Amino acid sequence: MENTLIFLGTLQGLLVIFAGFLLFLTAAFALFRGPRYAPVRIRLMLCISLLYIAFVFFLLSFGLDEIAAVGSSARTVPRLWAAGLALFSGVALRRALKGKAPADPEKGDVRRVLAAAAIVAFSLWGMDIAGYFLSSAAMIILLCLLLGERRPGVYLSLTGSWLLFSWLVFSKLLTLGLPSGILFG
Amino acid sequence: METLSHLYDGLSLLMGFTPLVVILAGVIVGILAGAMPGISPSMAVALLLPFSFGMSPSMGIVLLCSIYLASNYGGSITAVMINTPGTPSAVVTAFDGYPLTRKGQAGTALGVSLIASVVGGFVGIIILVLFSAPLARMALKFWPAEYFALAILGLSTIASLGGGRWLESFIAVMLGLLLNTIGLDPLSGVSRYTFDFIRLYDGFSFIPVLIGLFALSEVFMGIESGEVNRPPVLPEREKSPWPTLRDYFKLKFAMLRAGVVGTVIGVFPGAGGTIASFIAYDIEKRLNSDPDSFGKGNPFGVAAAEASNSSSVGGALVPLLTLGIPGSSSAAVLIGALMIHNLQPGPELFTKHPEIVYTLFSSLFVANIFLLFLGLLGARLWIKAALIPKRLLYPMIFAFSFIGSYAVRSSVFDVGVCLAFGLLGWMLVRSKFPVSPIVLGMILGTMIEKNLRATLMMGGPALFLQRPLSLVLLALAFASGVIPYLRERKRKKALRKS
Amino acid sequence: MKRKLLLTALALTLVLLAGTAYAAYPDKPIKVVNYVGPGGLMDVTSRKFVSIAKKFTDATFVVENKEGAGGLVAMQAVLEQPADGYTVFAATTSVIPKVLTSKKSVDELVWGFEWVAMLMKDPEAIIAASGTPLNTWEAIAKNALEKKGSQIWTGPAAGGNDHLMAMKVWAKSGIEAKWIPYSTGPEAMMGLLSGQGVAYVGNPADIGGREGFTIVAIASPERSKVFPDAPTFTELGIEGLEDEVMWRGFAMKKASPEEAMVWWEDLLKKVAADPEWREFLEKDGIEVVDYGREKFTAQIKKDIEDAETYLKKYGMIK
Repeated sequence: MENTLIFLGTLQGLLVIFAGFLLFLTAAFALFRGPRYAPVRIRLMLCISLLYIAFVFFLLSFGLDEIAAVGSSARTVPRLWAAGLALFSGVALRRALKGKAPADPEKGDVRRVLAAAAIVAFSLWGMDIAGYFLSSAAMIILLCLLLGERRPGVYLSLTGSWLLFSWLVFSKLLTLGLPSGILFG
Repeated sequence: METLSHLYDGLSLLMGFTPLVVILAGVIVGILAGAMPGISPSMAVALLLPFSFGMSPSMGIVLLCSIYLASNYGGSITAVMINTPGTPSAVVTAFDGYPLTRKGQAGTALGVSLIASVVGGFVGIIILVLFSAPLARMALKFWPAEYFALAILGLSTIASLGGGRWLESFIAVMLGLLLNTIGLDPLSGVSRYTFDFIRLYDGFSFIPVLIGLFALSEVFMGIESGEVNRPPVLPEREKSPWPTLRDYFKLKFAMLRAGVVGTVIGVFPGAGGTIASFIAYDIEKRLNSDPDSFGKGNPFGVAAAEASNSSSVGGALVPLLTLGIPGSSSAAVLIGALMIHNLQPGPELFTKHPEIVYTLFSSLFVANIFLLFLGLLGARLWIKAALIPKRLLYPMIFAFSFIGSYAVRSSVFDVGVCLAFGLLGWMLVRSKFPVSPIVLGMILGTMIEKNLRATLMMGGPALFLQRPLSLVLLALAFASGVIPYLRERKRKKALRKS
Repeated sequence: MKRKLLLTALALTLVLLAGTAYAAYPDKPIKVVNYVGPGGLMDVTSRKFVSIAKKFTDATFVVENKEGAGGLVAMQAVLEQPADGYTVFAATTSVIPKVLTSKKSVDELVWGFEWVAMLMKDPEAIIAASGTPLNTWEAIAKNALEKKGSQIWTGPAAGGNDHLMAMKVWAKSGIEAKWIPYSTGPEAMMGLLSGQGVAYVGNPADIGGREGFTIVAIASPERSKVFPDAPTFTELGIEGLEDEVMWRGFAMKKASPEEAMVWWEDLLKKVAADPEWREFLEKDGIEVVDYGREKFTAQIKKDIEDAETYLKKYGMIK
């Protein structure tokens, strides 16, 4: 038990926890497939995710070091908050199941939101390779295109002025070491 | 009387070309730095630290104090214009400031936050000059039990954050408190939930979380709802966008109350401006005749938040000057600046170098006046941000968030944190969960835990009840948390009956 | 003949090359990486050092702040840079116990560095509030025995340098007490003033400019010139605490060019003799030193040994 907990506290453990989360969520999704739950499905999934988070924090607290000399345990307070989160999320879950919760909002342009997030994530990943300036230029141009700016003159000058501004203020004035990337490093 | 003549001497020292230019430069840099997410007041002060080396000690301190004062205001500009608090203490300003801007009343939001900032700043400085000694004595009465009780009082303000959605607010605050336990345990140094990842040893950096939860979630909401395709809401043409003097005058008591609250709470190291603005906002909401309009763009909310946050500058200087203990991270940088000039911060400064102390006081007054005029000038410029179409504004907000999150600790990981909290915030907001309690939980988590456990180590739970101050604060917190809840239930019951 | 000429030419080129290489350091800006935020103690120290070093060299220095995890972030960041001597880590004593308590590898993080320049020795001191009856070492020790371990000492982070000093004092004097950590040293001092604790562990300079504090014991071989009223541990009859210091210094990644290290050792000698530098430190009762690699490494070894011994003894590490 002890060893499992210690393993879960490492980076590989985090992957296991995440895999567990996906499994748990899929199972919950299958369970609440019925049309009865359709109006509150997202809310149900949110509450279930929060319950899982509370559970993980609670479980991992047993693997935290105890230092007798300090005279105060590092485990208590996280458990307290985890219990609180579980309690309130549980109540919210029950209310949603009983149909007492507000219905989910109407789904908007979720695909565009995810695309925007993906562009930012992509540029974040690219920062280590292409450096800050190139990757943030790509990010701004792609976002402009995604959000409906079609005039190259507008989005290119916007990108250009941002790069100039960030170079002047952050690189030159504040001497902040922006990532230069493998390509130019 | 002696104080006044000292102040006059200090003031006369400032009435030259160089000192005024120094203050002017400090205020400009402060406003800009505060408005830039990721550059906190303490960073702004620190960045200019090297420039102050070459100056005389008093000019150096004047420069740094002007920056400190102005950057606390600067944080509110981005908070009201794009829902991105430039500084942690501007979080509360965004609660009502940004909804005002969305309603096409950016002028009101900008104007009120500036005037409240200046009024709050004056309240803070006046209290600092007149009452620093008794305030310092009060600060010394605070044991961990009292700090704990103060944090609980801060926590009880979640009653005013959720807009009546109790369950969701509780969930959000618990999530914030729980996420706050990530990192090294403040008492034993044990690593908690860090997954052996060194970047998590200090927990999540606050600014990236803030930018994600507020700015990015808002941008994602705007993309989802299609608001990005709509033209910006323009202020009505016939009417001036700016509030009239009479509008400001209506807010006078809100500003003064919040100013006093901000100064007093700003005195306590570690509590500071952010908690002060939550509490001041809560008080104003309770006193207001229309509490339901808070969070939807009520100028009183902006005034309370901004006045308390600016007045906390004066508060944070109280322990610095009387005990040599910084009340905030920016005040800590000021200590560093004093030390570089071979000056020891603390009570000896009054006896050995009174001229520096009084120049500092006077410079705060002068800087506050500069802030008023530069702020009015700048506001004409900032308000233009409301005219930028969303399809161009949103990519810029992403770019700002990106570099702002990075700048805090030169860490790419923090940018990822910002994005992750942006998505989390979006999912929560669209399901009608408030995000500000998460922030409150993350601000107060460490303070609650550290002081709770320190009190238990010092003498057990009885200490909370044996110490009168702690008892009073706890009772206040209990009342302010429970009464609104009971009142709401009563109202709902009455509604059901009728 | 021809061969001899060729050899001479080769030798000459080598010498010339070596010469230019030596003269070449530093031919670009040197980054000084701090692990504290701007305005923090080591940040102020490095900036002061750099400003005085400019009297003796044309080199450009850039002071950077890589905050996080009590120095681990900065240490890792420096070790990720090439070992060319252009990235210097600005360290203080507290990074050593930090590496140990966070269960990181000493070989990798501490000995991944060459400890090049130790700037000073700031003696550790026990400080009490003057206004209480417990303002001498005798009174504190007596009270600690009466309280049987429930006496409270305050200071910054658990497992840090000052906590370590407290453990040493408890072990050597045979008393027991509790350590209550505060976010910062000054907050812990405020706790002392408001009666939360009996003793605070820090450095003599901590009482400078503040009212209401007394140094009850100082861990240096002789009394301090700046704080002459503070007795040493030896005077109080406690042996083995003659030289407990907080140092500040600079380190470079192992296998950095020899000339870079020699250059820093030289630079330190010059700065250490500078009156402005001496005044900056000595007014706080700090002893200015100019230790190069040999003496600095010896200090690090002692620190690691001490930290391991006492952190184990008090159960902070296994």
